[in-house]
Amino acid sequence: MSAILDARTQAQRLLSESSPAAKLGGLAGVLLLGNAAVQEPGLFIDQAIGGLVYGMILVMISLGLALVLGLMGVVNFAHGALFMLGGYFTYAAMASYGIPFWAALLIAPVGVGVVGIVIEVVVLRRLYGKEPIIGLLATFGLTLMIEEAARFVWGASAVQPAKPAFLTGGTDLGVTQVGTYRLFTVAVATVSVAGVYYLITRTDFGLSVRAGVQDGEMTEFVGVNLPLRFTAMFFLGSAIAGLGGALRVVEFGIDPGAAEEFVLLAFVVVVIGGVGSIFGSVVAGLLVGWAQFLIPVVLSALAVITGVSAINVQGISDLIPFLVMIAVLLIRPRGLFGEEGLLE
Amino acid sequence: MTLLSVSGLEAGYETGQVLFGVDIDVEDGELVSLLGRNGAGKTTTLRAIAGGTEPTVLGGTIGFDGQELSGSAPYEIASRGISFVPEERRCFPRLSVVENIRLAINHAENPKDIETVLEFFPELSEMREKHAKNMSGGEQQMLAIARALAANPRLMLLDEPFEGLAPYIVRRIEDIIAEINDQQEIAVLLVEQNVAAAVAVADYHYILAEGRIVESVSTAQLRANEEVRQRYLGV
Ligand SMILES: Nc1ncnc2c1ncn2[C@@H]1O[C@H](COP(=O)(O)OP(=O)(O)O)[C@@H](O)[C@H]1O
Ligand SMILES: [Mg+2]
Repeated sequence: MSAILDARTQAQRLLSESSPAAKLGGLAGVLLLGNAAVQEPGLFIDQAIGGLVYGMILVMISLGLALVLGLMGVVNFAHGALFMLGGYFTYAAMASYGIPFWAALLIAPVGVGVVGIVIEVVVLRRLYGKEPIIGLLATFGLTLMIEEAARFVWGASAVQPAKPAFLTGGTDLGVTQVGTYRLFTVAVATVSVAGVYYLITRTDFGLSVRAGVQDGEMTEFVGVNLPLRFTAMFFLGSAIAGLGGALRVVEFGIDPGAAEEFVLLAFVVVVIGGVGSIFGSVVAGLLVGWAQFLIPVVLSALAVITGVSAINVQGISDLIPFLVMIAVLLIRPRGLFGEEGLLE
Repeated sequence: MTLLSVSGLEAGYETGQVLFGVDIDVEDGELVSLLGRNGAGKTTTLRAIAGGTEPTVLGGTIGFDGQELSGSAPYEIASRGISFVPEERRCFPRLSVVENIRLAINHAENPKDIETVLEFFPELSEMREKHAKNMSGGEQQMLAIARALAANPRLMLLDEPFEGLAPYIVRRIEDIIAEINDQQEIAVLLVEQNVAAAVAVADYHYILAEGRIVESVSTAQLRANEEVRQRYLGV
């Protein structure tokens, strides 16, 4: 409940701070979406759900990236590799060891979390307080290592375990069918993101983490074992990214390239949301997901109305996250919910 | 009983050594000041005791309750019963009054109750949900002291708590420090440049100049000895 109130005040702040031009743009966007929804309701809902699924996966990756950046000041490029490992661990558990899906969904994130702890203890711990570029380079190197290791073990092409039987069906929404697995993905992602949000904003552990982000040394003077919290947050961020990978591999498969593809998208999400704002990462992840799935529909609907077929740009989809980022930064250079501080 | 016993402390930064053998004893329940001009090494001494990332301790010992402190992490030092109120106050800017205090309570061995702490600071109990960044300098100083008191320490380190405050708040903070020492029986090591303020609350004074303790005197001796005040403190 209070999380919803938070959301309301944050949204109000955003609205009150936007310029008339931005508000006009928002209105135009709503009209365009409405037009697309009316023209092809089935396709529109399909894409809206696709965008939601994709957006929630992006949120799961971005959260860990934002937390680690906020608390430890490290730009963890290897975060995408952890997401990828979540997918591979799930595949290995199910396809190679015959472990049931639900158990794999637990084992894979924990396994990725443990890999995360090893990375934190062996590599990152030496980099706190150093130039950010050093952390970026070190974690970029780690990404290449993990990626090549995955290629060595599981091959260069995508792998995908069989979808569990109880999640294969669809749910009829009248105008279209939604895969049950997609609804399952959204549910699991929502619960885990809400859990992280609760942990950070409402618990004593979260209080010590927020204090650590604001003034690490003072937090230690007050008696908090901050290094332990760094490790715990790294475990948590890694495990959530791993869970994202686990959810994704069953529907779309995973290949070694996912490591870099998804860390870039997660960066885009963190920048759009405002560096360090957990709430911003959630909003931005959904925004990017929906933009990527709905803008093509909007363009094609607009092309039909205006009769200008050039509007319906083919293959624009992969560019959209970056276009959204540019647009947001032009209007709000700090990102949607970014402040001078972190982890608001 | 000697609670804190700093002996032959040498410490410095990458740019060079700053402390050249500092000796300070604080007895259980005592209120002692560390006086010295700007740049003498007062803050460096307190940070060395509290275990800050800087300075680096180069030699000497820091005994607390019979155990050696140097080399321990700041949170370990805090958990032994030392609370540090640093120069810049360093309240957590985007945490509320209650959250700032609760953080200290959550991580102390034998903390005070939050209501007890707030009773001590009626000013703060009227702004429980206010974020520290929206508070005045005096209010922030009170919050920093409240946070330190909440841990119910055996020793409180205060670095120039009167700096930049209006006279009536200075008097209020003086009262608070005296109460913390008298009623709560917490030993205090107070760093000051301002002799008047130090004389108002402390019983015993160490005078630091260029990284060395040059005098250690009672309040009466400090009042009487104009030469010491002139030479080391410029008053
Ligand atoms: N972080 C630091 N890095 C390098 N030198 C420092 C640092 N902090 C203080 N110093 C130097 O150490 C000396 C003592 O400083 P400090 O302990 O802050 O003095 P005081 O608190 O008595 O004013 C000064 O010469 C100061 O320039
Ligand atoms: Mg100082």
